Amino acid sequence: MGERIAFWVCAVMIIGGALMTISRKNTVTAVMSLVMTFFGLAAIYTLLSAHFLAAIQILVYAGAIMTLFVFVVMVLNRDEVAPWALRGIVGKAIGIGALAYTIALTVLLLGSTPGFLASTRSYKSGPPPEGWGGVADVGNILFTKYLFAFEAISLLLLVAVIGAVVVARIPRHVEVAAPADQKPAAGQGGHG
Amino acid sequence: MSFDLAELTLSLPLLVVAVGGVLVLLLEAFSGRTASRAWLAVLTLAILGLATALEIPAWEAAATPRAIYGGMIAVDRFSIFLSVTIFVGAGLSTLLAGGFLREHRFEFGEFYALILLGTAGMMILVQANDLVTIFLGIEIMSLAVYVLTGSWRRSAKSSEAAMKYFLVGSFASAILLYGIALVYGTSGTTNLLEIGKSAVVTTDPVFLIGTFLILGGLAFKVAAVPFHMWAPDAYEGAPTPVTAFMAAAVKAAGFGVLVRILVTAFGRPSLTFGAGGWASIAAALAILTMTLGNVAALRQDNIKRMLAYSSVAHAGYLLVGIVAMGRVGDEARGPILYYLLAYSLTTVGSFGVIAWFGSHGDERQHIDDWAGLGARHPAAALAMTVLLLSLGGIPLTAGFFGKLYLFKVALMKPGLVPLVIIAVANSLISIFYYLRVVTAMYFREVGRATSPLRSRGVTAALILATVGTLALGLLPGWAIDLATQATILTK
Repeated sequence: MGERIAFWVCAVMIIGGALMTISRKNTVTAVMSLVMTFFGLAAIYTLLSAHFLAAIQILVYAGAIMTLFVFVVMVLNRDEVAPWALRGIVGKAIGIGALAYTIALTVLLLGSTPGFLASTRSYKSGPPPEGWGGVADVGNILFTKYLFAFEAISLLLLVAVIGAVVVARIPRHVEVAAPADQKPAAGQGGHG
Repeated sequence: MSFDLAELTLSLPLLVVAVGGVLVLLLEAFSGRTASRAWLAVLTLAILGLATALEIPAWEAAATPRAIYGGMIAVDRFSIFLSVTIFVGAGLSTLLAGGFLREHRFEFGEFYALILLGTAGMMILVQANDLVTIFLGIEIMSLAVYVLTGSWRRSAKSSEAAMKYFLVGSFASAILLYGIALVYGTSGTTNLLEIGKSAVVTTDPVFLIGTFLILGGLAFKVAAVPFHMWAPDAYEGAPTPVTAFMAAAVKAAGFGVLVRILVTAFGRPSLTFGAGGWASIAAALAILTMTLGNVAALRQDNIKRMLAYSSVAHAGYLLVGIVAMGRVGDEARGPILYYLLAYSLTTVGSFGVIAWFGSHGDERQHIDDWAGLGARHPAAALAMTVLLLSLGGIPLTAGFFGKLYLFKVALMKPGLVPLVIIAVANSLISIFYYLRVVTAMYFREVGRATSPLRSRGVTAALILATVGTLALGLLPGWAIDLATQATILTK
């Protein structure tokens, strides 16, 4: 029962944080909401006995990546918006209410589908084996079963780094006159 | 499951392409700031050629399909056939890129490195035997193509296209990943073969939602209706050689993984047949994709945009093949493979003619710009005519046999006759807009003066694509044989 309560608290934290990340106009509020999501995720990992993953989640995401986000916010230097502006709150409330209603209805419908609850019971449950989710276990599986995936990720990161440099750098040939292809194209049909 | 060093020899082509990409990147770093990058294009072609040559011994080794690296990667002729198709698309796009980048003044060496690394991602994708490798392959491929799409920095349209493609693509990846999580949660494994054999209850809604999300994510990548919205903008805005690469190689890789996942992971009858089975859903998507793609292509005046919608329509024809694979059986995979090869060759060629025709500051994509090309540049007009007729499926071209074999195998099941009739009707509609370009080239007054690209690479690419299209149309036997041998998947 305690586990169940912890799960729901974390789930609300994750989804609430994610919703606030995309809905807040104040960039610092949005970034801090994302931190809430990351911490919720780390807590879920702990509930699943994936302790190593939880630690990495805090270190890498809540630590390193969030710091970068805050730096970007600082460098962008956008105009400040009040963190909890009340503008448009009625529309948002109606929207959130409608969303909650849809979700509740879907859950109710799925719950009343014969076989749905029965099938969920067939999933594996119970405590994981000894040492599961620790550094040794993760390291073992990463460098045996998932070695190919591990190597493929290095390729993915390489492509991402090249891509970032290509997109961010100043073009080599700088010309004074604007080329014709920058003019808005007229009469080229609508969007699909 | 331990790692066997001998297994490395089975993925030599992949290693060559990936290491080649890194090599090109290194050489770019050490070459002069203003030096020409043409030799990097030549090196890229050599690497792709070496990888193609290495696929020949691999073809023999793959006679007995198996899974390596702890089940992450499948070794079979299906993936080799698709890899070579992807090499053809990547190689011809590289040939086009040399002249195109120089003419439009944004030559940079990373372009070729990204082509090679994207190709490596596609190779991983068509060989992937595990949901984890599928996701990694898709991401490597997509990231490379997003960047290539936006690489024309001074073109606002290119940046816009890259932004749209990136946002929609990331959304699709998230959907795919959510589906993977649900399927893993219910079946307890990410290995495709083990999912196929797992004791999961196939009526379990969580599992079904997971399969739909995975298939929806993949449908985004192959630009099937209703997930095609990004394609016209991305195809139009991208530098034309990149458009060719997207239309040919990305589509081949996407359909490759779609076929594999449907057969090995979701191949059991309860998931294939019935109103909610993937065969029925694919049939509905096929009709929508063909019809919407062709009807939208009819009213385009921009040739690149028209070919983008035509590419959507071709995804629809390929979905007919997927339906046939569900209803008829494994023999439908040969026609799908042949179609992908024929389509890749033809579409790279037709985008190649568009790349050839434009000059700096004047891309000449409007259909009026093409008036009188037949009188001014008869050889290029002839090549474009052959390629467009092949896309339309006129006899003596590769496209004709592609459609013939695909529809013939679908007709083996009487229930699929209506679907084939719709597909044939759609081919007739498509001939209408392909011929619009042909009539503009031959029967309209000569427009303003043109100064098309003068590049040996572009000329070579156009000749290769046109001759290849005719060769596959006149002597389809050998390619059909290879495609038939390549139908067996690792199971």
